[in-house]
Amino acid sequence: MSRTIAIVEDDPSIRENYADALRKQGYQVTGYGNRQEAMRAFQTRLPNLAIIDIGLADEIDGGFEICRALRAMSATLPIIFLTARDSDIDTVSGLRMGADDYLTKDISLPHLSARIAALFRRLDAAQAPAAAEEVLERGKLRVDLNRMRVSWNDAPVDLTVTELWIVHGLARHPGHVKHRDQLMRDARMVVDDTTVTSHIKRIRRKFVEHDPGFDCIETVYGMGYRWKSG
Amino acid sequence: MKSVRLGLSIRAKMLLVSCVLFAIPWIAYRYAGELERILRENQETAVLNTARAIATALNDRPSLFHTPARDAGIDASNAIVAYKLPQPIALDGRLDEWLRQGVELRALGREHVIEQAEDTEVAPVTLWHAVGVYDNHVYAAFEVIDEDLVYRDPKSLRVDTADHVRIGVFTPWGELRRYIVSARAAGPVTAVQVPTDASGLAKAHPEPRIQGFWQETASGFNLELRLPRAMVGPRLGFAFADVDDAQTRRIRSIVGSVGPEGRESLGTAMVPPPEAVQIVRSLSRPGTRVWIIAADRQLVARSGSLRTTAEAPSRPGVGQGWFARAEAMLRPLYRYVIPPAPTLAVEPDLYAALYPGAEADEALSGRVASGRRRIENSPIEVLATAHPVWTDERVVGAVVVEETTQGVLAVRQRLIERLLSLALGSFLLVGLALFVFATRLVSRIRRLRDEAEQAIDSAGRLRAVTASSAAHDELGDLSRSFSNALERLAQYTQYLESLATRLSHELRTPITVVRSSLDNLKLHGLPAEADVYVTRAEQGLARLATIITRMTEATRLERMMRDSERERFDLRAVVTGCVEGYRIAYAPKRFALIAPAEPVLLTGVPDLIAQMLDKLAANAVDFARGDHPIEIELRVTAQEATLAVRNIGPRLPAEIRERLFHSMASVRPHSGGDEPHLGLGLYIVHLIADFHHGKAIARDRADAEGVEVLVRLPRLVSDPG
Repeated sequence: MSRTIAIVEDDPSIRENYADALRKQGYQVTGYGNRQEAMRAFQTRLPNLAIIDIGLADEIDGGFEICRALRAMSATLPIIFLTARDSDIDTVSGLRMGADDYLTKDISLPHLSARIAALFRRLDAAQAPAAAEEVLERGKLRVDLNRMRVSWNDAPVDLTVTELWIVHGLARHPGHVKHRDQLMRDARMVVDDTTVTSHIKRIRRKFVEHDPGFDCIETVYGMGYRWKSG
Repeated sequence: MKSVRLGLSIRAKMLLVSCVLFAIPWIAYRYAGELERILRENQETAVLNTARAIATALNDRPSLFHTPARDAGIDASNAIVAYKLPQPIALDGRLDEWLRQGVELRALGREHVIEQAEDTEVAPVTLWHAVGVYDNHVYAAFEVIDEDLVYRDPKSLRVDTADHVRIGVFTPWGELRRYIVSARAAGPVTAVQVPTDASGLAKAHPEPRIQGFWQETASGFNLELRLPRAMVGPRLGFAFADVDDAQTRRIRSIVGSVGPEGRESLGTAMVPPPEAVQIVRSLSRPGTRVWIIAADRQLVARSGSLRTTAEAPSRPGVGQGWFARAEAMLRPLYRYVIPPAPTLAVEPDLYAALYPGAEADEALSGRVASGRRRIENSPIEVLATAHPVWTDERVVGAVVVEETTQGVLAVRQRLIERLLSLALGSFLLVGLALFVFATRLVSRIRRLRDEAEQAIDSAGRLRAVTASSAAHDELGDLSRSFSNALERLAQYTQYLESLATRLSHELRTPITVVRSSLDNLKLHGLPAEADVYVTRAEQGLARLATIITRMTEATRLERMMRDSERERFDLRAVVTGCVEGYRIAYAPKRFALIAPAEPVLLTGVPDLIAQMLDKLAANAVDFARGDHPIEIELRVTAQEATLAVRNIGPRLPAEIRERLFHSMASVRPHSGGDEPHLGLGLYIVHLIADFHHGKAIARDRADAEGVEVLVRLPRLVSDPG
């Protein structure tokens, strides 16, 4: 049975483009143009994954409300925010609401589908027993690409898909400077340098929450970042 | 700071406007003229009243106008007027004493020759004479021009065979007396009375009551005589008999006011009748001269003087204060503007035996008449009013009261001076007040201007205008209007800033449509020849996305600065790392790094510093010419770290030098490379330098053709947290 994806997006062209592309990959896609419509459908049946635009028609924060409602209905449902806004504040508030990733609309479709696939992988891994693992271990760090999980000192670190890919990209070759462009490729996104910087900042913060002494991600000014095996 | 444009400042204009106050002196002048007219009218009335009072007092006193001598009806031109002398005359033959007392000598010349020997061609003598009265004596003075003085023959008793003065007197009791004064030598003399009949010269006897002094002079002699007043009646006459030949002792000529031989020829002695003088004196005012004229126009009495003892210029009591002192100091200055009030130097018509004006005739025909006549060479006029004196319905005489306009002119003068002083004072005061006011106004306007000029700072941020904002006047309004306008401008700027954000937001949607459509197209398996177009479309999209990102870069940076936490970091490491990165990123461009050996600790946000350096490096690379390396230098002092980025290339364009660090200032040629430029690069540098309490400046290189950008970052900034 194919997975169902709900797209809540007020622009019909984008909605249909995304829906078409995802359908081609075998997903069952339903599009909704506004919050009320989407909420009514979600009351009846939850999708397997939701892609939500934050600004919906005349409700500028309509996406956040849907996210909150969905998270209340299911703790595990993967939610991706898709928005034209790129400000950090939106990012932070979006993530605090429990979204699994946060993407600007200019992301390419292959990048989007990679994320969707990764999220479903994570969902599957949580339900199925541990299979052949594709695991990267660097000291206290453990990145499980199949389950899309990261743990530090055996405690899970709640990273988004993008962040996980960045950490993975860095930690794969410790001591090597990863240029921002390389990190973007690893993270399957095309954004500007400052976005990478703020991603790194957020990743550091999440690790520091678990371990105040965390300093494995080193900034090499003018070039990029480096994983310091400590 | 803009310099004040040349031209009239507000202060100068105010001073110019205050020149309107100069109308005050003009008004004063007009006012003074008006006042003068009124004063003249008053004076006329006063003179008329005086004349009327005196005339009334003289009414029905016919005796005053009737004198025995008057019956004779002689020629008035022979009249001799005796003046009241203020002091007695010392009999010493010096005549300057007379002049000092205001009496002038009258000349009797050729037309007064009475007798002349046939062989004499020219009258050889001139006689000057004057008569005065003091107390109980009548004084007479003679100055005789006579080249050959002949004294009396010491062996002869005859008094008329030498130069001598003849005196004819009509006594008060109506008797004619004749006297001769001659001298044996210069010195004191006494008169000799001679009989009135022709033969009697020999029977002379001395009259010791008539004394005199004979004084020789260079051109003749002076003679002063003193007669008891009681001896002198209504008529008096003098003559000088000239004897030039000491041998023949013959009289060559006689010059005199009269032929003293006959009573008919005697002149009227104008010794004023005491009674009339009393009346006149009691009724006249100072500065007034009163003539009492008989019906035959003969002068009966004259009293008073037109010459007032001029009032002291500084009147006591009035203004010993600073104003008066200032006025006294200014008075010489006024002399240039307004001529001083004239004073009467000489008493006019002092010797006139007849009243000179026409008013007398009018009065004698029974009408009151007033008139004015101007004194020669003087703006002073003599105001005269003649009033008839009646006795039994008959005009027996007239009273003429004269007064000069000197007093009026003096008052007018004083008035103009005072008004001039007041005008000057008020001009100074008002001018000063206006100046102070204007200065205050100007300073307020300047402050407002300065604030308005600085209301928009180099970063384009707006500051409120506070100068005069609480004032309730127009300047306050202006200030508030400024604030309002700025507020609206701030809103507009905010709108523009948010416009960039909103625009990027709005543009992202169509871009997403295009991109997702392209992605979908690719999934459909396009023919190979379509790939190139898809690729181009994607390139265009990427460029568009970059533009959108750049557009919001400054806004995002500001937000980032707000959220960033300052930390202690090694600036040298940041710079070194960045330069390493640029060497890779901008290869084959070369970078030369000059940095100290030790770490440079600074408090701030290293990411921001790196971003700033990125911008500077990108800028330098864009403008660098040839193969010259781009120099990046880090210099450190105890107080500050200086980051310099230098390149060889075009100099800074003058027109943009001031605004180089402003938002949206760009000097790049439009033919530039692939990267879109919005003129935000150096603005971001400025923002970041500012965030670190530093300062960024750009200037032409001193050592080579090119530009250097310096960023000074203070090191000792305590972290505000």
